Amino acid sequence: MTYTPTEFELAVYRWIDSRLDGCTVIYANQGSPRPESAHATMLLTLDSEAAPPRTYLTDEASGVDFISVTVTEKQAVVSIQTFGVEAYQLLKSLVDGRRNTDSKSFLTSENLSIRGVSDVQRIFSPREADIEGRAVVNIDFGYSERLENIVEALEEVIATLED
Amino acid sequence: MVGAKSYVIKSFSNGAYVDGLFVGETESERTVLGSLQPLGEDMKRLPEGLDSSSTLKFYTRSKLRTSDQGEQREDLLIFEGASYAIHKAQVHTSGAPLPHGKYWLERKGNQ
Repeated sequence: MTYTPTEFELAVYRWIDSRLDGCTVIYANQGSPRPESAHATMLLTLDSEAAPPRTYLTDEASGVDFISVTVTEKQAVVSIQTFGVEAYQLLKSLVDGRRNTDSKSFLTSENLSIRGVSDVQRIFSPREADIEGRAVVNIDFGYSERLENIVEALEEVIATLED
Repeated sequence: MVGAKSYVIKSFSNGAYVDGLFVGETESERTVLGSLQPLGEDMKRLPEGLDSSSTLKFYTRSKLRTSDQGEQREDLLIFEGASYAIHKAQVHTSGAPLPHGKYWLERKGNQ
């Protein structure tokens, strides 16, 4: 089964991938082979409306009468897990560096904001004859979803006035 | 090998992670001779419905790829229309009268 990420997930992926040097970032639960080197998984665990949708009409498009634009402010939680010797340090650097200028610029260019971040939790898990280092964090993102629909104008209105 | 029959094995190669997704695999099939034996069956009554699992042992002189062998998908054995992932191997190359491998198989879900 091939997983198809949403536009939001693609944007979050690009941000995580740009911040975790030397770490392979993958979408969780693909049933695919485990990367051999240090890696991170991302999983969208919650995606909801943060405010009621706002709808307005625009007549700037050519070829159609009007465009109905609905903008919904959304919030979504992404769980990120890292695996390997540097798992905890990698996630700490991602979280602590989220307010750096380049990270903030990247988030803005992707139409993302960070609303909240959980603690980075360190986990040790048995793997084969060793103990593997892991870490997990949940990041609460904000983003806007924009939907456009064509609205045709009424060409003629026939009305009858009655006393 | 007692009770050996032919089974279809599906193999995968050349897959890689691109932008977080595992893509680009090529699939091939071959037939191997081996002995398939039951290992375990389980049935669970879960909120979403009954769920069963099945594990098998497979003895063969052919070499199979298992799920713990690096960044390539494991081989699948086809049995009674279901696909079984090949997880672990115990390879007996010395001491046994005939060199062979014992593989641990688990039925894959439909999703």
